[in-house]
Amino acid sequence: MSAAPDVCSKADCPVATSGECALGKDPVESCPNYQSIDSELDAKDLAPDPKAKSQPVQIRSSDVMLLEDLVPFMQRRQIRAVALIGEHRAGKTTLLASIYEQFCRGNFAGLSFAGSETLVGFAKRHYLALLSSGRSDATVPRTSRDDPIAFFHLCLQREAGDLVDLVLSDRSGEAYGAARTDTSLISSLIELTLANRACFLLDGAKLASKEQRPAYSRQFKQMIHALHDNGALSHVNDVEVLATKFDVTTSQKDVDQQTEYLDSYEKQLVDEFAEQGLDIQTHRICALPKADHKVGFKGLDLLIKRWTEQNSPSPIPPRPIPDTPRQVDRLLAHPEGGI
Amino acid sequence: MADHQFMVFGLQASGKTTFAAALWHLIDSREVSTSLAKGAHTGDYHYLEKIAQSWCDGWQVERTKSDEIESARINLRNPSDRAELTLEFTDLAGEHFEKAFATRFCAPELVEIVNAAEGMLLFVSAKRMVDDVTILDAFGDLTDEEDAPAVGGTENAIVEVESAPAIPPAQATEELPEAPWDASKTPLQIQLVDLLQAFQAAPFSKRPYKVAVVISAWDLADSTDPAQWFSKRFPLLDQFLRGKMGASALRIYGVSAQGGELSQKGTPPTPDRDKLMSIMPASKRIRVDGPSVVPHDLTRPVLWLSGLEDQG
Repeated sequence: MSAAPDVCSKADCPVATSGECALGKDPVESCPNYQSIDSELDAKDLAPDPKAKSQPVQIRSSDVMLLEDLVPFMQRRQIRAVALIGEHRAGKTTLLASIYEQFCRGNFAGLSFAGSETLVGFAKRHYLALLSSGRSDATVPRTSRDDPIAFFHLCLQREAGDLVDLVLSDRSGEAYGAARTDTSLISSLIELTLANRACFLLDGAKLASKEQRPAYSRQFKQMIHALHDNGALSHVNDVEVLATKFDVTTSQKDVDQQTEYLDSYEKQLVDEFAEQGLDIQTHRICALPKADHKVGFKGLDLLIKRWTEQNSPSPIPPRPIPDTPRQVDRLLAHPEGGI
Repeated sequence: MADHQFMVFGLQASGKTTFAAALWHLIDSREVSTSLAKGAHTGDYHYLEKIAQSWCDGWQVERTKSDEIESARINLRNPSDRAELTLEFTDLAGEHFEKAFATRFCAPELVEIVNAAEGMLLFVSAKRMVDDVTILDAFGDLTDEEDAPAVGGTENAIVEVESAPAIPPAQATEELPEAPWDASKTPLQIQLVDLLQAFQAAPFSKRPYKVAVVISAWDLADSTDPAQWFSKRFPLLDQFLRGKMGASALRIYGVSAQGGELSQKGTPPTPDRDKLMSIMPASKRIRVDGPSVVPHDLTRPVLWLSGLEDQG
């Protein structure tokens, strides 16, 4: 995000002209003095109006939650946290956007929308699926490796009236790929510390491709092994594999063989990790049915029911560890800031 | 000091100003009986008179300019117990809210208004274009005909779809680069839910309160059930308002405060103008649909917000 005039409350900060934060914060949005402006409006729209009675006041961001936003939120609300894990283009952001879209259309999976701390964040992930974008091909914005881990929130209301706060994490696929091949990076995947459900997204398109299948099917398992072997899944209660892009699977000429392969691969995953003491469930979804419209939005309703079911234990934030070097632990120790 | 203070909320062209003009004429003229009657005539009525004049003359009521925060204070009397009450509608231009959504900054006056309000008249227009059609809806043939969210019109006769010119898939040759997110293209219901939620967080301090949704230009909606129309046209907003975090109580009214399509003063009159000008008395141009309403009585939503409906 580029700097705009009058975006920092610190008088001598050069961020508006150079993009550099006087306090050395990178990204600059992480500086408490920085006031981000996510809009297409000209900066002049925000410049002080000499005729105005008083200066504009900032309102709630409503963009995605960062880690420092999530931790205090977890202290106030009992959340269901799901870590979406998958490599580049596996469909993590598409899944987020699609869940949001279902609630934009009405009650979904027996739940109604009661609120979201990150509504603008969802809208920013979904706008390329709207006709107003001018596109003919629905898509979602790419999550860059430079983007920090982002959390999306939905407050959903059951028919009985009780609320459930669902929080989903989104991180770039490159970051997961890097952690798979260099396991020293796994400790930086802080979303796994906070989640009570790990959801591995299995790219159905790669699996359907005979060129990509051999390496991808191996690397996908390698990712789960890497996280499991290094204790990154020890906090989570449920582990599931979501085979995405089911419309690609069904649109292949050899659809029966494709489905048969997917069946066998899913079984292989379950059996292989059961031997390792890791219980895995497998499911299939289609969050953006482009290749085969007849598939529709498959599996999303069951997914939401599963993630919000009443007997699912509420996650308990990990206990803070004093004098720890990890950012997440420092935040947990001081949820209101001041680390 | 107002006994009851309500906030008027709605984005651009949602019918707020026309409602205020029609309400003022209705109670000031005493042409038809209303649940709440006009109270003492004390105060500054310059703004109300200006917009009511346009309404009476059969011209489009000039919408609130973006730099205006107009205060419309109306004294009312509850005939059942002769109690006097004052309603203060602070009419902010829709641009105020749209700018707040886009920039995440708002005028401090808005904070005062929101925090002082006991309830809200939330305006949406039946005339507004459908702005949340997805590409799959348009080209993907995903939904069956009955539920199709309509390129070219919903079941309830929204006649236009807001879109950038899209290329049908057959003509598309290669994928377009990602255009940056444009806050102004965010669907209306998302903007409204987001701002309503923002009103519950600092610097605001509002807990969920009574909300009366007013669907303006109701004569253009091909429906007789405002609640049903609203839930189909704005499903996320409807869910939110009915949920625990949205409103403490919700009612949905369809209001045709103008009675038809009108043009701006100084431009050629529309065909509807002659028809509307022939309606006597003028207050009968007004049409209200919804729970516990009586024809032409624009004070019913206000009566309900005030908590006086049950007393009547």
